[in-house]
Formats: sequence, structure tokens, C-alpha cells
Amino acid sequence: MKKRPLSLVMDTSTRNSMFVLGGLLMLLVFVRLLTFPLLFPLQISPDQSMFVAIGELLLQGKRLYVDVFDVNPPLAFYVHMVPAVVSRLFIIPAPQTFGFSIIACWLYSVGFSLWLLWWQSRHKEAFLFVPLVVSFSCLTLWLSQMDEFGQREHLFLLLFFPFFIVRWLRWNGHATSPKAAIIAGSFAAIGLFFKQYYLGAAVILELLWFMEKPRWRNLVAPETIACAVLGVLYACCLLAMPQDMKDGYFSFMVPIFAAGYSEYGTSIMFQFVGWAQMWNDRIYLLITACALGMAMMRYSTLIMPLLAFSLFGLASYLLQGQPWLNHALPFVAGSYMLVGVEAAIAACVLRQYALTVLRCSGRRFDIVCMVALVIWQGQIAVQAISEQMQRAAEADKLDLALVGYKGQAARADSETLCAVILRYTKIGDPVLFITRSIAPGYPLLLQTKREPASRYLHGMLLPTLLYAGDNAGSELVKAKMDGFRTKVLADYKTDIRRSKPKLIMIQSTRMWDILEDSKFMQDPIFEQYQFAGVVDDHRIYIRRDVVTSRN
Amino acid sequence: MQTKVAKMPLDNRAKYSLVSLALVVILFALVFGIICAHPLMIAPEVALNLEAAKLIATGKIPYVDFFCLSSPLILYGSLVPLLFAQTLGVPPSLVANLLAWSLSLVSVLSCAVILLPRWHHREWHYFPLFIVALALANVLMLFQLGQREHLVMLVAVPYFLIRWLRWNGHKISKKEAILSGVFAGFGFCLWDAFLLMAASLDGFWLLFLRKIRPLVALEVRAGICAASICLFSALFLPEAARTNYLSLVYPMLSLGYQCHDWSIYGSGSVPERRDIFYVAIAAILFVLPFRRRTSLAAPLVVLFLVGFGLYLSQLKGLSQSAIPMIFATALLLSIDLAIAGVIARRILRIGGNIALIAYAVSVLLLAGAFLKQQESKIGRGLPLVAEVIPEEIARQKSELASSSLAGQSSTGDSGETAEPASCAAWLAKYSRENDEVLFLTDSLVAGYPLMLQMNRQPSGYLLQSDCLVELEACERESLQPKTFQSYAENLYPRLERDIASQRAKMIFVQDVTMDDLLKKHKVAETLHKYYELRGHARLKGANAEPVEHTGFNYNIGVFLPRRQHQ
Repeated sequence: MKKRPLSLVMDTSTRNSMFVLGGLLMLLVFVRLLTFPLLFPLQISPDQSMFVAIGELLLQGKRLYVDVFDVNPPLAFYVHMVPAVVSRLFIIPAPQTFGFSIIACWLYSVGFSLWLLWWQSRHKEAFLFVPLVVSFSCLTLWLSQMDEFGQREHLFLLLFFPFFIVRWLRWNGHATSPKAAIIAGSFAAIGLFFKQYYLGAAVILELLWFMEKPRWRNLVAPETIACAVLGVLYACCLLAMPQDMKDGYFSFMVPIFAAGYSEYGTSIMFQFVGWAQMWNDRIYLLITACALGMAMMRYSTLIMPLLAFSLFGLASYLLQGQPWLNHALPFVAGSYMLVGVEAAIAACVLRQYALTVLRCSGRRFDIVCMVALVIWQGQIAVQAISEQMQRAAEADKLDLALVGYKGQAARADSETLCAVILRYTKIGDPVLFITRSIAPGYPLLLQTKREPASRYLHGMLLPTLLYAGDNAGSELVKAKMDGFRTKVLADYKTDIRRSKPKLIMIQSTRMWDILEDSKFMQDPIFEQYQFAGVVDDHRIYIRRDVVTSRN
Repeated sequence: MQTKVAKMPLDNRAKYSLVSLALVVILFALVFGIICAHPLMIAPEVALNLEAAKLIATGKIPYVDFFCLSSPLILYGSLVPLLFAQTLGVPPSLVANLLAWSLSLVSVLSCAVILLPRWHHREWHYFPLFIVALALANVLMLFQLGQREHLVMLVAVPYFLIRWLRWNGHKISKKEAILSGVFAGFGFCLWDAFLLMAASLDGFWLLFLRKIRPLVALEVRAGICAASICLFSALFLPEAARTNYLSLVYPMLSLGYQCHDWSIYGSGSVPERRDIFYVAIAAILFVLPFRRRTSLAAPLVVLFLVGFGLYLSQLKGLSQSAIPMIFATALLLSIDLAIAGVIARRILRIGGNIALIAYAVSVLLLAGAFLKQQESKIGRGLPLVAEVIPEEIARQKSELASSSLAGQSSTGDSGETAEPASCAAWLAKYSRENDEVLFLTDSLVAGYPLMLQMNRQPSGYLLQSDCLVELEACERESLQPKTFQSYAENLYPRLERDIASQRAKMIFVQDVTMDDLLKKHKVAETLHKYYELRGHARLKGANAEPVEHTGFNYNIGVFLPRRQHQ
């Protein structure tokens, strides 16, 4: 069939206007992003707060998988030392510095990408650059109102995005400067080695590009070399870890979670349906974006990699088995970008028709449309910021002096438990949470600047071990898991003896039963503690001398 | 469409066609053998439709004298296998399966007739494998033969091929266009949601090829005519049936599926379909870089995505909902393999008869692998739906006799520890053929296909009771709770009257889910007034195909009439 492809080449003035538009929209997003940590300096989500807290513990000289345990590989924790350092340097709350760090990361991601694309202004798909970056930024904007802002998947996406741009340009014959490529590759390496799942995304994209245009030279580019070198270095660091750290990770945490991670799994349909309509909507968005992408693929070389990235994201989401939104972020980001690109193609086609019908100059038409768009988005931004300010003004205030800073802030999460902690402990005091999930121990401990009283920052290990034992394929594995459970319980007792926390909070649902079955509470150490009641599904134990002194 | 033609020298297209058709025949012969060996094997929904057809055959009016969620077309269509079975004196399940098998064969052969004679088509080298893949897609659905989604796909694939040829500027004969359009029109009437599939594909081609004329091609017009005839024939339904369908069944179906069902949270009550997604995603990723080589791949990806959307919209995750995805994935895999074959031929530099033999052997091996994978399902599934009768029943009956639950109160100590017997064993012990039985469970599976297999009659108005759970969820979560409340007000009094009439020899009531609903709507009092709880049954092997169910796997209370034991 001999049909000419639709011409989508933009003239210089339109391209320039689009970059100006992109800059303005980015500015609006930046202001909206900044509002949240400024108005709510203590607000942070559980997972992210635990990572920052571990970053802080590492700064104190604690060792991963010996003094502090979590299942994630080490790089994620070392990266989270950044907000901890900033918090120390500028004496501002760690949750707030975390928010600023993520915004800085976003700035790098979109700023660097726009800069990379600016130099490709003669690219025939230049009309897609700004919509691509703007739609990618929509993800961060959407997440800023949610618990997943700054999750590892979000960080991965932010760090990976410029690398993706560099690779796409290279495979399509548009090389970037080697320095820029190395920067993009280095940051992408951090994101890629955060979570092993997403390394697969990069590999698959390379494979697809290679299958499409088999050019070996494209595989060996500055950015890929930088990425691979850092990966090798990271692997060497893992191998060079002290033996006790290696044992703690490879012989303890990894086998437990490999055998028992399904404890948190749900059926596939629930993974799709999730906890709210929002889950369903994201999947429908993915389906629609992919279907449209198949139809529009001839108009842009960006659609194929974005479609592949989205579908790979869906596969990795399903593979992980839980209806957790952070696992869904790669495919959500992929579908956002796909929609952005598709909308840009549609807008470009419509623009051509409109220009033909209206018989006006393209420049004037573009300016009118862009000004209208900026005004519309500006209005939305002002409204959103006013709502946030109103929320902050109406919220109960917490005196930040109680947590070592100046001023006031909107109250932290789990107000009742927070009140208990503030009442019975001081800054730096150890507090023990034995809970089925990371929350509410985190973010409370980070927000109140209290220390974890145990090497296990949360109790997720116990139900996971129980599940792994019950579902073990052999007696040997079962015995191993039971042995680990005994070790974890013994470690808890040792930690309590060592750090003598003033407060112990045990989750009533599930966790209490597990501890009761193990006769954990019958240990003599608990004679030093007085049961003070149940608050927010948590049994509160207070050290007797603290109760006496408070009385 | 700018397709890059793969330069695969096909030495002898007739030979490839013959080998592919031979493979199709082998596959269908194997399936025929399995069907004949297990005459009672049948999918739950098909069994329900046959029960409804039995009632229609006795003069009852659907949605007026009995209630089920199937469309009138499929209910009346089920009369065909039923009447055949009654005439020939064979189990209706066997006839229904053989009918679905024949339709599958016709569908595959018509696709072969559409594709294989087009010797000069530049993508011909995809066709032989495509036909084998289509046959395999039917084999993969062994436990779902004749399900609504299966039937729709049987007519959808030939129509899809005709549309693909039309959009790509190939000549279509009038006969091909009219036949494919008419069958598709009737097929899509089985479930209107499938119209989305046809519309999406046309939308895709419209965007991709920027042509308008194919939108009003002969097959489309024929399809619209057939669908209009179908809709028009609905006017011949009894007035009350039509009113009830439009005012009760259709709204329940379209709104009910929007309601959240917590039973899907962590239960493995339906087979996990992750494998389909992994395979489909791998197949799509493989084909993306080669998309210029074939114009067939992209619409198949769209077909998968629309199938995914339909699967998602039903919120249950049943195997039957995955049928469109399975078809699209199998066909897409055939394209992938054909591309891989071309690359392999180019690298290995083989041609002629060696290539043909390699093709036949590899396809045979692949089909063998698929069948092997099915074998495990057959081994696990058949004793549950087919061979449970009569040998298994005899064994279970004796288990029931010795069980502490039989003939005693369920609250006894020994009863707490004993494993409840199956519904089949209870039915065998306390009812005879043609007795009326009522199943009140949150899934279709407990009652169907058991009633058809054991030749019991559904009692009362409700042929399926899972709609009561749907109603409850909708009442709680929908934006129109009052509408659903009015449906409940219609259904529960009728159920109460049916129980009070004591026509049912046995009533099975699922603990917790249905039990709570009966209490809430004050039907439980009537139930306990006329019936006595005699023990419990349990849905065995409910976590895997084919006895997949959507609800919670609680025990099922077995109630017998009080007067019978007084």
C-alpha cells in the first residue's frame, strides 16, 4: 500500500514555543510539588520514612543486615543517606528533606531530559518532546498527593528517564554528547540497581531496539558503559561486604522473603481491582494507551519502547503479586507517557486540519493555544495550592520543639500513638514497634526523632516466616524457617535487654497471636514492663520505672 | 499498510496447507476422543443453560417462570443440543460438547478456507501456523467448550480475518463477506460486550490506515442485519419475559459487575491466570520490533488488549472470561513462531522438504507440549465433573453413611472434626432422578453441572443464586442502591414462597454468605420452618479448573424437608 505517512515535522517557531510552554508547565508543577513539604514538614509515608531512618542509622555507624535488617538490597539504603545528611546539615525535619530530595531528583530528571532534547531541535519528532516530559511529570504530580511519592519505583523512574531519552535518541541515530550520556548512564545505574526487577526493563528495551535495527555499536555507548561499570562496581561491593553482612542478607533475609513473600500476595483479579476504583482506572488507562499506541505506532518511534516498557511494568507488577501501588508505578508511568505522546500526535494532526480550515498562521494559532493551556493549568495549580494551604491552616498543630526543631507543623500520622510516644519518651530514646507492616512504627519514629529499639525495624519477618514454614515444600525448609523464627524472637529479646526501650508497642491483629503462640511475652524481661492498654490496635507496654516517674 | 514482506521461499504451499490441516484434524480427533470418553463433562454455565432449556421445553417462560442471567438467545439456542439429546437418548452434556466441538471445527476450517487458498498473499507464510494455533486455542478450552465467550470467539475469528483482508485491500468474495458477517452478527448478540471488540478493531484500522470505506463493507452490513434480526426476534418473546429481561436481568448484568467482590481478595477460588499475561506480554514484546513484517500482529495485540479489558470488567477472573485473551495470545504466538521460523531458516539456510518436515515436527511437538499441559488439568479436573458419577458417588455415599454428619445434627463434636461429604454424595443419598433441588450458593459451581449430571431438576424461580450476592454487593456499593433494593424486594419473597411450597426435596444453603442473606431478608425463618439442617457438604477441589467458583469456599448446609422425617 503506497500511502505517505502523515507529516508531523514542526517549524522552528512552534518548537521554540513548545519549549517555552514546557518550561512554564514545569514551573507550575515545581511550585505545586514544593507546596507539600513546605506546608507539611513532617509528612512522609511508611516505606520511605524507614529508608530515610536506615540512612540515618548508617550515618551513625550501624551496619546493614547486622545492626539493621530489611529485605531490600543495600544500594537503596545508602542512597537514602542523602536526605539524612541534608537534614543534619540544615537542621530541618528528615521527612521534609526527603520531600526536597525527591523534588531535586525530579528537577534533574525533567530538566536534564529537556536539555538533552533541546539540542535535538531538528529531530523530526521534536513536537513530542515537551508532551513526553510533561506527561512524565504528571506522574510525580499525581504521586505528590499519595503515599507512593518517593518510593523506590518512583526514584527508579526519575533516574531512568534521561537514560531512556539518551538511548532512544541513540538508537534513532541522534547521538548526545558523551558527558551527558555518562551522567545519564550513571544516575540510571543507581535507579536500575535499586530493585533488580527493573534492570529487566532496560535489557528488554535494548533487545527490542537491537532486534529492530541490529547495530552492535549502539549497544556499546558511553551511557551503557557507565551504567555497566557502575553495575559491576556495585556487584563487587556486594561481594566485598563483610561476611556477617553477607550472611545477614544472602543467608537470612533473602531466603526468608523468597519463601514467604506470598504472605502478602493476593489473587490476580484483586491485583487488578485493588483497593479503590483508582486501580481499575490505571489498568484501563494502560489498555487504552497500548491499543491506541498500536494504531499510532507509525507516527513515532517513541511508541514502541514506551509500549514495551508499560507492558513489562505490568508483568513485573503481576510477578510481585501484591496490589501495592508502588509496584504499579512503572506501568502507570509508561501509560502516562504513552498518552502524552498519543495526545501530542492527535493534537498535531488536529492542528494541521485547524490551520487548513481557519487559514490562519501557525504561530498565532500556537500562541493562542499555549496561552490558554498555561492559564488553565495555572488556575488548577492556584486552586490546588489554596486547598493545601487551607488544609494546613485547619490541621492541629504540633510544636516542633518536641521533636527537636523550631516552629509548628501539622500533626503527624497516627495521632494517638504519636501522643503516647511524645508523652513517655524523649528525642533519641529507643522505642520498639512489633508490627505486621512497616507502619505505624515508621513514619512515627522518624517524625518524632526516636530510635528503633531493635535491629528489626518492623515485625514483617514473623508472619512471613510463619507463612514460609506453613507452605514449605520440604521438612528441611520448614525446619530452616522455624529456626529463623526462633532466632528472630531471640534477637528481639536480646535487643530489648540491650536498649531497654521505654515503650514497646505490639500490634494486636495477627502479631500478638504469633508472639503468644511463641510464649514470647513470658520472658522475664517483660516483668519490667507494664501493660498500659490498647491504642489504635496496638498493645502498649511501658517500662515500669517510666510509669513511676511519670506518676 | 507499509508491510515489509518477509522473503521466505515457500517451496510448496499446498504441502504446508495439507500438513497444517492434518495437524488440525489430529487435534480435533483427540478432543473428540476425550469428549466421547467423558460424556458428562460440561462447563457449569452450559449446564445451567441446558437446565433452562429443559424448562423452556416444558412450556415455561424464561425470566417469568424461572430466573437466570443468560441471554434469551443462548437459552433458546440451548434447545438445539437438548432436543437432539432427547431424540437420540444420550446425555445432553455430550451433545452440547459435540455441538461446540463441531462449531469449533467449522470455525477453524472456515478460517483455513479464507486464508490458505490465497496463495499470492504476501503474508501467506503466517497462515498455516495461524490455523494450527486457532485449533490449539480451542483445545486449550477443553473445560470451557460451548461457553458464551468460546462461541463468540468461534464466529469472531473468521469475521476478524475477513475484516483484516478487507482493510488491507484484498478481494473478498460476496459469499465470504455475507457468511462471516451473518455469523458474527448472531455471535455478538450472545454478548453485546463483544461488540466492543469489533468496534475497537475497526477503530484501530481506521486510525492506522485512514480509510473510511471498509467501515460499511458487505460483511459489516450483513452483521448489522443479522444482529437486527436477532433483536427483532426478541419481539416474539412473551411480553412478560421481555419486560423482565430488560428491567431486571439486563440492568443487573450491566450494573452488577461493577460491584466489588471481596471473595476475590486472596482466595485461589479461580485459577490464577498470570501465565496468560506473561505469555501474552512476551508474545507482544517479541512481535513489536517485527511489526513491519506483518499486518496481522497489531490487530491481534489490540484483540488481546480488548479481551483484557473485558476480563477486567467482569471482576471475577473466571477462565471463561479469559477466552478472548487466550485466543489472541495463541494466534499472536503463531505469528511469533512464524517470524522465528523465517529467521531460523535464513540463519540455518534450510529449505524445501527439510523445512516442511521441520515445520511439521516442531508444530507437532508444540501441540504435544500444549496437550501435555492440558493433560494435568484433565487428570485433575475430570474426576470432579465427569467421573464423579457413578463410581465416585457410590464411594462417597458410603463415606456419607459412616460420616457423623449424615443423619445427625451438625453441631455434634465428631461432626466438627469430620470432613463434610460432597454435594453429589448428599444428592445421591437423599434424592432420586427428576427430584427438585434448590441450590443457594454464592457461585454457580456447587449446583452446576451437578444437577444436569445427576438428572435432578432445579426447584423454584431461582436457577442460579449467585445473583443474590451480586445484588447485596450492588446495594452496598452502587450509586443506585434503591434500584437494587427493588430487585431484592422482587426476588426474596419469591424465594420464600418457593421454599414454603416444599417442592424441593433438598435445599443446599452456603454458610455465611447465603445464610446471612437469608437471615437479613427473613427467608431463613421460612427455611427452618419447613426444612431441617441435616449436615454439611463441601465443594471439593474448588480451587482449580474446571470447578472454579467465584465465591468463598464455605461449607454448604444441607436441608431436608421436616415432614419427611417426622
